[in-house]
Amino acid sequence: MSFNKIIRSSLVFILFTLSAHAYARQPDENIQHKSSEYLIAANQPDSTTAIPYSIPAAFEAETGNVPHHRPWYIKLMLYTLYFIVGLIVIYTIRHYWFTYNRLFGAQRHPYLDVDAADWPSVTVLIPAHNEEAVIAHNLDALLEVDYPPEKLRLIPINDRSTDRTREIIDDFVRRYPGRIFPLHRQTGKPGKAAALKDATESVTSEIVLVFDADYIPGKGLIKQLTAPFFDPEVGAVMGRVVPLNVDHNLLTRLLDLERSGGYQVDQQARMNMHLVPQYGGTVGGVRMQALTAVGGWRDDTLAEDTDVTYRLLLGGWKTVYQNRSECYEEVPEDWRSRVRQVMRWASGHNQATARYSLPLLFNRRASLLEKIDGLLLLGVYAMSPVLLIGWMLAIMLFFLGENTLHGIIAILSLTSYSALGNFAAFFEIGAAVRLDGHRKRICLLSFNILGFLVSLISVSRATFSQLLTRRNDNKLVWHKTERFRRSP
Amino acid sequence: MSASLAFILLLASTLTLLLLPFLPGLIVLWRKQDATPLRVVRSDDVDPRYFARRFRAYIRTNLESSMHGSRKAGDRQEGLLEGRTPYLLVTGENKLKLSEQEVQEREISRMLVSNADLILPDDLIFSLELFAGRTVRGGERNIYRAILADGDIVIGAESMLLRWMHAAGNVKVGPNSLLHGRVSSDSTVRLESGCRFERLHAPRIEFGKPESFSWPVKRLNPLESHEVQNLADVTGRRWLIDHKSELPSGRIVNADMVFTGEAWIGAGTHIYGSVKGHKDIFLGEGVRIMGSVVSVHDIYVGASCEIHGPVLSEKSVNVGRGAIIGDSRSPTTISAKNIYVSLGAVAHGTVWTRLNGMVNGAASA
Repeated sequence: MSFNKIIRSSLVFILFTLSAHAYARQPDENIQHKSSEYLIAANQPDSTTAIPYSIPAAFEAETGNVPHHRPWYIKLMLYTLYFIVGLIVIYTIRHYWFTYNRLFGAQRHPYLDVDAADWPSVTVLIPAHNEEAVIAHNLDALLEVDYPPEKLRLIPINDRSTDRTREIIDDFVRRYPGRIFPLHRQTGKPGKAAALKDATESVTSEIVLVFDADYIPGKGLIKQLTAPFFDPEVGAVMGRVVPLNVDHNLLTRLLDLERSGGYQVDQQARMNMHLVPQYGGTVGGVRMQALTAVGGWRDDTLAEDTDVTYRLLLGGWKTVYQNRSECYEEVPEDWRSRVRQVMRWASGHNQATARYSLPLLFNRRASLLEKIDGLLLLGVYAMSPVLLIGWMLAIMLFFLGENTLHGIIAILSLTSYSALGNFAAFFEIGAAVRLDGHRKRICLLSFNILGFLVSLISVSRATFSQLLTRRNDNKLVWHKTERFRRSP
Repeated sequence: MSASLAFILLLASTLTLLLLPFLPGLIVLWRKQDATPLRVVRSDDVDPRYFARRFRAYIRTNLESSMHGSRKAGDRQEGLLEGRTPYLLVTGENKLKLSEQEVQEREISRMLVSNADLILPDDLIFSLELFAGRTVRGGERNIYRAILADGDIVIGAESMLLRWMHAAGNVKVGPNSLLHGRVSSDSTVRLESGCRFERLHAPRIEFGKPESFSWPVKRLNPLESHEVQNLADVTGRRWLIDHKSELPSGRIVNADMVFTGEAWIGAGTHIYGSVKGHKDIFLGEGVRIMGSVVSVHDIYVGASCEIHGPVLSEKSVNVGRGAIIGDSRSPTTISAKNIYVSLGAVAHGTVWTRLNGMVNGAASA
């Protein structure tokens, strides 16, 4: 079902609700409204001027403790709205909790200082599909990293590229013999998850790191990302993604702010509080022993990163976040790419939500805090459609005369604004910008409402489509973000 | 006022109020202010020798020709370097001669550079860097900003270092000295008792005179997973142990171990893997661990223990006498908020504390 159909269905539902309610309000059939009218009339100095049923009248009816019997569908809408308000309040608290922890709490960077060690063997996987514009920069940077060359193996995975990606990779192989071991895929399932699964079959190292082809790792990054694996409980590690093309336009600047909030505050706060930092699929890696123990990469998932984060958590492995292990990436420069990216993330994340919510709830190894945070993290993309539904319900109930809701509507407005509209999430971004030491870019904070609305619609659209068409396991293809860098 | 004018005024003021928060953002966007990417940390920033390398490059650029020119032993050259940094260059074997003002104030506010040894008296403040082509031999109770030497560095008791110190040869620090910042050597760093430190880096770091004490070698029996108290799960070679657990003495364990409670490892036990603790970890005497030891709380390393991998604690690490961390072929890292090391212990690699590091015990002979 297309998005337009969903909108049309929603409008039909709204019209149906209004008609049903209008029918239900017929004087002979609806006692509770008559009682309201009676009360209103009785309270008027001149009962002939009483308004039969109005917003202030209903308000007075409510405050006057007159029994108010609601039709079942109003009750349903009402309790759904209560539930949504509750959820939004929880997410609001979560945002504030993370931000305050980041600003005033103890910060954990337990593996950051490891600079001398007997470093383990590492394989770097670089999934690539039509990456001629960026793959050379990535390989150049990886060849310069400060890591014992005999312990570092680079595997670019060229999956059915139709541009010069293969040619560029093979040129590197010729120029750097014994350093790069490419995998050119022409068969099998397409997509990043499937590509990783295939490539991992030939891995013999203890650690696997993954970089998307547009990432440019710094010299010390491989050591920084490998250091946490000296902790035998760590199954995966995640570094920080930093946009490179910040100054291009409003979108890139908003994405820079969003990434700051997400990593500098959100991920680091989770790390500080021993919660569930998320492995993000790039600038990170996994321990082969852990990955094998939880069943390896799944190639039937739309978000192999979220998927592996939760399977590791269920298996008793920890994911850690290294805020100082930063790596440049290229963010989308046009809104069309951004919408596609968000929709893809939402679909993958929701798929993980469906798969792992219940197993996490009943898992023996995860702590209570990990369970709470893990479930909230799983639900984070579902909150966009939930918020839309909440807004819709609040408006419908208001016009249906359910003015007992005035308090709830106020709370909904306040909390939704706080949770996703301004204060909480924006507070998080503001705090992140401050922690990063920037001065001027915080002025752009007000523009985030634009990014927020686009994300809200995109995520809702992806989620509704997923719910209505069961698109979970379809089209495992390369969904990649358009590159804006020029090939060398 | 007409109704239409009032409406227009209301509309205009509403729009103004609505758009006002966007104005600073529009200016920043239009002028592309603060639009550079966040600076990514490069590996050099965490290299303990970073400042020493930069200072060496500075010396090479500015004073190399003067140092190796045809100058006689005992010659002095004074002047200003780039950034108007005053310097004093002395050549050949030279006992430092100070100006009257410097003698009176007990403070040298010039960068001291020598192509040979620098021998420094007691009770002085060196507010700029020192460089010696050979050895720096400092007196007692001096305060240094930074020292670089192509030979050894020896500083007397109760001295203070403010930023960094690096020697191509050995570094020897007298008792009760306070070392802020980074101390590194291409050979050996030795700290005497009562020294406090932040970051040390060298192939060999001695805390007092090393004690050679070998734990009696005897036949060790393997420890099987079912013998472990509170074992919750075995995944591959990783054992998960809930709550407090105590491993017996004199056993061999071939696994990585994760303890959610306190972990006690019996004396003489060898672990061919790593140990992680959510609470304190106690290693008995003579314990040998081939992997790393990581704890959210404290780590107590018993006397004569050997640990080959990194020792990482989010609170404190206490290293007993005669313990050896890392080895010369594979240096490693000790990192914690607080690190307390007993005399006779040796570390290879990096010792990195975020708050306080200290050498415990009476001064060694």
